[in-house]
Amino acid sequence: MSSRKQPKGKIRPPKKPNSADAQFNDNWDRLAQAIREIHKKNASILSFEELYRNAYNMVLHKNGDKLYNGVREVITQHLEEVAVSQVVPAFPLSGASSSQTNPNGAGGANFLKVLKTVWEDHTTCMLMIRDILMYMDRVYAKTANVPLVYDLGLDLFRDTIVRSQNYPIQNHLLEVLLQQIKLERENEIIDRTNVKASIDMLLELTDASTKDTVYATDFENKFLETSSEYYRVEGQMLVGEYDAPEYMKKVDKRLNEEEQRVRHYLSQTTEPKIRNIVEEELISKHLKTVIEMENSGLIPMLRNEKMDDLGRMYKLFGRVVKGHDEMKSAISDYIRELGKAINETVTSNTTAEGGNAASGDKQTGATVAVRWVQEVLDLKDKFDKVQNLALSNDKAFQTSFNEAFEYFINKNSKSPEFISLFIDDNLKKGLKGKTEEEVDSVLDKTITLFRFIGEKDVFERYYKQHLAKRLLLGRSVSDDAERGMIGKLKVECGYQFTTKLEGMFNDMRISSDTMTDFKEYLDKSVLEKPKLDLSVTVLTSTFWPMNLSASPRCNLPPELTKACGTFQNFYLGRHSGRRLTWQSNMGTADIRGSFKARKHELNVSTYQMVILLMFNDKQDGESLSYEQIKGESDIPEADLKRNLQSLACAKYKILVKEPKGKEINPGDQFNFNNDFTAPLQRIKIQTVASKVESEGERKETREKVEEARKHQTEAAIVRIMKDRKTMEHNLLIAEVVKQLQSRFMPNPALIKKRIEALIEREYLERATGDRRVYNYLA
Amino acid sequence: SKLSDDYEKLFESEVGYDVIIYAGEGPNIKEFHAHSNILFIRSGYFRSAFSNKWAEKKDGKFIYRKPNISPHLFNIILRFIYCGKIELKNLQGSDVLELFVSRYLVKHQAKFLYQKPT
Repeated sequence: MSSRKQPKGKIRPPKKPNSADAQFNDNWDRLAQAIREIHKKNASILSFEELYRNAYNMVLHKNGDKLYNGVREVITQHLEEVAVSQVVPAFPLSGASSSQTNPNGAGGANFLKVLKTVWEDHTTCMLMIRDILMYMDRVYAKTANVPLVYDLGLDLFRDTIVRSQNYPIQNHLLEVLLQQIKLERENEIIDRTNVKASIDMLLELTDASTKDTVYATDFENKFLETSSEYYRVEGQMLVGEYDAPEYMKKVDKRLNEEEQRVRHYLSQTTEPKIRNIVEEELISKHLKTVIEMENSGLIPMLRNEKMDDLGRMYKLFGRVVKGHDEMKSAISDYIRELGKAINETVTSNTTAEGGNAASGDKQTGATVAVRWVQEVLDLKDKFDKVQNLALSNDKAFQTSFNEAFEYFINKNSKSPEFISLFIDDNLKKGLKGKTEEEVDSVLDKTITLFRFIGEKDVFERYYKQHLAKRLLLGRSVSDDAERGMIGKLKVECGYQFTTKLEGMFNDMRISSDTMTDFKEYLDKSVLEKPKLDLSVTVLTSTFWPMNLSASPRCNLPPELTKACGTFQNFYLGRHSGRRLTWQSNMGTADIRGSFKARKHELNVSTYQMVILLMFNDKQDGESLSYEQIKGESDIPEADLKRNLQSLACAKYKILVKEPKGKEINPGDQFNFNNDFTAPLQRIKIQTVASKVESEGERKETREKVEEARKHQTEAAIVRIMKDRKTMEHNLLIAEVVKQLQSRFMPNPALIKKRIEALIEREYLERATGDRRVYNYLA
Repeated sequence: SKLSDDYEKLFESEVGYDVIIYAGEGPNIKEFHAHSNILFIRSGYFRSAFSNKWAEKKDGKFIYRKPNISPHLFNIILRFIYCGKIELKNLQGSDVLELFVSRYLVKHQAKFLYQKPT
């Protein structure tokens, strides 16, 4: 401090304006010199305390602006010099020649390296300058509203070096950066440190007008533009050269590379932008092409169960807006196509079989149904697997798959019947090889198909029929399995759906109790015992699918009629006011037949028993004609034909038919087959219970369903109107549809007809003012 | 005891000091011992002065010279840096003025300036 003139060595406030100028010059000279020394990396000779004091004095003596401008000038001069002496000489050979002479961008890399050094020097110096000018920053910069000295340094660097007006530094910098990135994209190794240094530098500099980084204003857009172009070309090339899985791997790799690039040396803000570009150029633009690639696109992947490829496609295409939609619709179309094929094999099978429907080969119908369901289940399994392994159980895909299944399942008008038959098959066969768990899981899957059925009421009708036969003919695997299935249906459709089914079970249980009581009653009774064991199942008519009014009649043999009478007396004695109607078409009988060779026990249907007993009165060799049997037994024609077929044309020929043949025709003659032999003593004459309905039966079922729908529709209308009192036509229709659609899809015409019927019966009336509005009449 | 009392003790005891400060000029020079951590934390000025770029070190200790201040005043300032306390009644008018001038040393100058005794 030898130059200081204060005698006491104390800092004093300025009192002598004359000496102020001199002091200013003195202070400033020292500082300017010091900054130059700093730039020369000579700072070790400087005293922080002294320089700080100089700056402090200048600011204190209101010379802050002069100091600030002086500093700006010194730094600018220095940077100009740096530009000329260091940066410009490092320019890489520009233009087209550069890539030839410097195939690896070595010139560019060197340029970046020089720039890195220049930048590091600058920032180091600026930190020191900031230290000594701390007081200027704190006091002057704030009040004068100018940038702090470090920021001033950044601005000067930006304008003097990076955006130099005198030298094309900016052009070179951008070109080199883009070139380095391009080299890296083409699998060259580049020095990422140099690139990163330049990028960081651009990130630290701020554009004065936009207040954004120079990275954003000068570099980013150019980078994105070139990337866009690069990937546009690459996309076209890849699509032409690779199959779908390879293509997707390449895209995956590119996306990964770009993400890595951003992480290693670009700004995070660029990440979504560059990702969008790659996604747009490599995915969006080629979506359909890749999905539809022959032999390798989406459908071939599904066909060959390429789960990895499918998963990759799912992840990749999920990145773009339309990606999953395109996939979904392609897969759904494929499901519909496969479903259509399954439906077609069934229809071709049933029509082929239709020709010999009466041939007695009734099992085929059920087999077709079982096969159809099995194939649909297999298809469902396949796509569940795809969904699970490749599509992350995506709900949207699931919905779209379900729609496709629903579509083709309902395209097959027989699907409700088929599904019921399939369940029938499983509940009957269950113990033949499958464990209970296996049956249960099959039935669980079947329930998923059941969900797809639009006409659940049709299913219910078939299910009741099949269940009735299982129960009455004792063919059910187990009560547990049956109840389990009903439980599943209850979960799906609620208790209304299953109350009648459960009622059927109840009837079976009560009947078994009743029979015990009946036996006791007979034992105690003084009446003459029936000559045969009679077992009766009493069914509540509303639960069971049999039609009371059309209940088949037939002339039973007198012993049986008598036994029936005894039971009837017993039963009606206990339950007055009930009516019993005999369903002889549902019964079975054990009878003993004496043949020439030996005696056999025959397990036959009631009808077959009636037919066979007729031959008891005949001499050997005396035949009965079809007409005679029909007239005497009074069995309905279709049932008669079927039962005669079972006796005369099937495996066990108890009767001999003339002329021979598989069909029963009017005029046929029947003889008792005295020569009948069979290895077993006990023989069961098959009457096949479950089979696909014939066209006539189908029509009948259809009519019954339609009739039931009328009632349900009316009930729904009344329920709604009772609640709302008055309602507009379209709203009423919508509400009715809403209430019924879980069972079937009512069409508006049907609803309209029912409304009119209800108006006629004075449940409803049209409003006087508006004929589109209905009132409820209590 | 209060935290500030403990810091004052630290200042007076000089335990583990790593800064040697020469305050004053010529015959009126005095050596102070201090702790760089304390100065670093309490004062931006010292933070720069003891940074790698500027620090002068000898035998592992920072050397700092402050010629244009009287040892008496520097003692008051250092004490303030350590514990935030200042004995205003020991100050004369000229001292206060000098303190004002020296406030760049310390960040928390404002408090005692407003407490100038009348």
